Amino acid sequence: MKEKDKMMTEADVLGMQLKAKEAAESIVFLGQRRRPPRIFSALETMDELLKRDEQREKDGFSKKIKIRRVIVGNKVISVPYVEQEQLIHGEFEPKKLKKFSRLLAADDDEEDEDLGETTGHGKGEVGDVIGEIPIGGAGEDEGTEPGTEPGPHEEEIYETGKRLTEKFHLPNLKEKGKKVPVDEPVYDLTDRFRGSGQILDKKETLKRIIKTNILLGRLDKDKPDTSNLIVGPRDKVYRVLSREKKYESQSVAFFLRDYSGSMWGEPTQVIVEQHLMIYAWLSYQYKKKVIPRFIVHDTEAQEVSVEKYFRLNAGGGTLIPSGYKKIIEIIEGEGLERDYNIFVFQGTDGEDFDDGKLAIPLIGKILTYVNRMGVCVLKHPYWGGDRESEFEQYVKRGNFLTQQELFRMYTMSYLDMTEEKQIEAIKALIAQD
Amino acid sequence: MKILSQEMKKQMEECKERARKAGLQFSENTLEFIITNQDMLELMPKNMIPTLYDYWVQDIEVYRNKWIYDIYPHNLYEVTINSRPPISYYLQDNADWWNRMLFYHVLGHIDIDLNNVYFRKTWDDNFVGQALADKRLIEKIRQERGSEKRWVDYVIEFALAIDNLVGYYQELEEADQKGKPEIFGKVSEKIDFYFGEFLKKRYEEKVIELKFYYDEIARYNRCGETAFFEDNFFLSKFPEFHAVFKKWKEKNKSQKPKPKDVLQYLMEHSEFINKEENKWMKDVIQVIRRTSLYFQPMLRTKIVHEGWASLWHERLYTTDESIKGHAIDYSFMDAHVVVDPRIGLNPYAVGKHLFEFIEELASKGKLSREYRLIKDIEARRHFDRGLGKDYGREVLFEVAHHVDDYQLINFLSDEDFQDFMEKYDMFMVGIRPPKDIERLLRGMLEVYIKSKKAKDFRRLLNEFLYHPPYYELREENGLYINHIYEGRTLVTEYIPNVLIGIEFLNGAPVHLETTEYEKEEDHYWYFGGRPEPEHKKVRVLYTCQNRKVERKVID
Repeated sequence: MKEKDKMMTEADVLGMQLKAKEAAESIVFLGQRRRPPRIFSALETMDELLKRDEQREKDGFSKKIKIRRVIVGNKVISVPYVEQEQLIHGEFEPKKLKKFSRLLAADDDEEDEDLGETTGHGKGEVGDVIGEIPIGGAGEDEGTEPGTEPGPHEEEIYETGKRLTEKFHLPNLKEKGKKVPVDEPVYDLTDRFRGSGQILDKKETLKRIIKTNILLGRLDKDKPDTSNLIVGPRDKVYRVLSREKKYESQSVAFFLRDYSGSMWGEPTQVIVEQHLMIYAWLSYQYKKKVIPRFIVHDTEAQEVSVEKYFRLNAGGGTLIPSGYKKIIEIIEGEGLERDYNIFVFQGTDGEDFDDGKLAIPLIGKILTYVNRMGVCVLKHPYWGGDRESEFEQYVKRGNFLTQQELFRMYTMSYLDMTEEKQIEAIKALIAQD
Repeated sequence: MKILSQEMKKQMEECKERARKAGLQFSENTLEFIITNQDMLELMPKNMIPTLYDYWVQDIEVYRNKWIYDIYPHNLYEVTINSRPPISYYLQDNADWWNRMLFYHVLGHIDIDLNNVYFRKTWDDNFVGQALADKRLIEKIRQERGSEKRWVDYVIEFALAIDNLVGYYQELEEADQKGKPEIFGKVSEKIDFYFGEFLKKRYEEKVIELKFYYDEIARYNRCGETAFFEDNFFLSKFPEFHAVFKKWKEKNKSQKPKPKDVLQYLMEHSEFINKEENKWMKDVIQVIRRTSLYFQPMLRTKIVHEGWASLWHERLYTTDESIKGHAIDYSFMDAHVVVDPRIGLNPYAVGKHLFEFIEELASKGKLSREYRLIKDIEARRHFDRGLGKDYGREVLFEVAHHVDDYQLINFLSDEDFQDFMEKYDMFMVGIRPPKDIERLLRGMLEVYIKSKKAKDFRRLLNEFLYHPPYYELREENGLYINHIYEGRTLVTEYIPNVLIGIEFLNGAPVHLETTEYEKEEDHYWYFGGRPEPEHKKVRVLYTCQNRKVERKVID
């Protein structure tokens, strides 16, 4: 077994099992891979749909419309969808029902470790292995296929950021930080030029005239007589339009997420949505001058494209410091610290194989580079519960929570995620107070 | 969307002739449309009925629970609607020769729609026309409501949440009782009362003995009802009978007929809906109920439908002249649809094989008691009473017109089904994580042949069938729905919102009693190693009052 695969936390193992079970079920049901139904064109605009949902709340019913957002290129496509709720059959009776006598527990394990059953056809004997199915493919999520049909609700990321900021009153960055010269030339009336120009700078001109006259002896320092002053041609000082270099602040945002087994399913969806919204907000803050860098890690980290970031579903062990190492590598390697404002946003479930030995110094180093590092910890309802995860423990030990300007952490459960809860988390991470 | 061209229509008529000769029965007129992909996408949310009522959720993407029940086949080369006349859609891009094959397939569908007894309640109406009338009705109601029209959508939503619970079988039962009272009708009320309550009470009070009870039954079977009650001996023994019966009848007259499902209960017993200003809700719910009842038989005969249609398109097309030159193309395309997958279940294939197998059994005389008694394998294999192909075909049609999926799958005895599985090389497959950790981490699951036993295979097929939850209704501090546990729990996440909807329509509290499995979490962390969740079966009661749902464990 490879070294890295040994680094699996309890949560990772459980996550992998869930993933395997879902893969088995996708085969089992009808023997055909179920794809969610294709996108139907929503006849109402997003605004109308959202208004409808708000009206539902006023009428006393829970909201029904859910929105799935995907980034394609530099556009965000929002797909509204609804789950049809009915009283329908769900799970079959689980094989391991609690029996009052657990004496034969050992024997129980033999039978039925199977994740699923279905029918098949062909030649073979009982016990023959007739095939293999991959769990979740090469890591691609089946999701929607944006780009094949023009989405009804698509907008530029900047717009999304603007809308979110306005709707949810997200804070504006106090200090935009480093400024960098930009190509656009700007003309300003700041320079002075003697002799000719557009606008006469009276004060400066006067100063010059007096100086000249003193030199010529026509003016007495102690007893100034301003009636007999000569104005030389070179005394006139003008303000001229001159080409200035414009400085605009820009930033690089690192989005780091854990894609180990423990993040299988809902936690990944929550994080990916959250990062999408944070990216949109940053884009608005920096007037589109944000360069996003997407990094996924399990026991090793790799940088990926934006599409892959939203879709990759891997599994395996968890080593958070690998992600930090990668980020530092990129920052130092490309010399980003000098010219860019750096942000790091991370999503994890907190379970880590490292106990802080590697992570704490790395986080410390990152904090010397960033304007803000925000980490969202998603707790598992059953296995995470009220325990403090590894990550939370070593963050405490590293004393990072006291450095409020630079570091923010927010924990929440990923169950029943709503847009409101996401916004709450984001606000905690980007807070400017 | 456009009507089939003249030329193709002529071909369709030719196909009909050949199909009729083969034994399929259907009406004179049929309608065919050519549609584009876009049309197909737009029709899908309306379950392919173009006149179905409008509802905003139809427009946005709808996710259904993974145990979803699809009505229509997945090939989407054609779709048939059970209307008068039967309508079918063909995709624009289909080649003409492919469409000809599809005609046969469609005729198979139409034959089932028009002759299978499970569809008998749809034989009298034209649903497409009814749907149009319903759509107009709902539009009118929306207009009348004016600014409050969103409440129409709410009522539609809440009714849809429980439309899978319609009393399909109860409706059939009622139709049968009315239609054939001599077979299905209830015995008269008087007899029912006499044997059900009157005598029973007296037996409990020790006025009569059990022997007397049976004697009375024997006496009833000898003479007709009137003679039974006018017998002198009877009148002297129970002089008070007629008076008691009359009183009982008066008391029970005021009772309305038992509602067949939740929707009907709401329409008749809900005080909220029966208020003057809410009477329009009844109309809306009626539409939803009627629509759902229409689709019920289709949901329960998917294998029958597809198997039958596949069978006939194969038999009729391969013997059709126009296959010349397209035989290979046909085999290629057909293989995609009717193939037996190595892993997985294809209802087209299973249905078709079952029908073929049954026909064969019939023609060899194997559907007889004589054959059943033979256990010797060799004897069974060589058994052939030579009843002939025609007889086989007759039986085949009888079967097809009288079974639904459940009956088709369970029609054969265990031994016969075992033979069926052997003939078509079918087996049950299990999916498990590989014992090798490396392969597990690489992300592969192992698929292996688990069993070739008929019992196991059939169990899987049965689990695949459409089966809405079975429940009983009663009134107890509001509406009390008792979900009878049959081996599967309900999807818990959906329960609260559905109950809130029912409560709104009921105007009174709603209770749902059901079974759930509770995870025992205690030993997740404390025992180390691989945690093994254990489940405990508990009976729980959900109560919805004032838009709040509470859950309580009862036991």
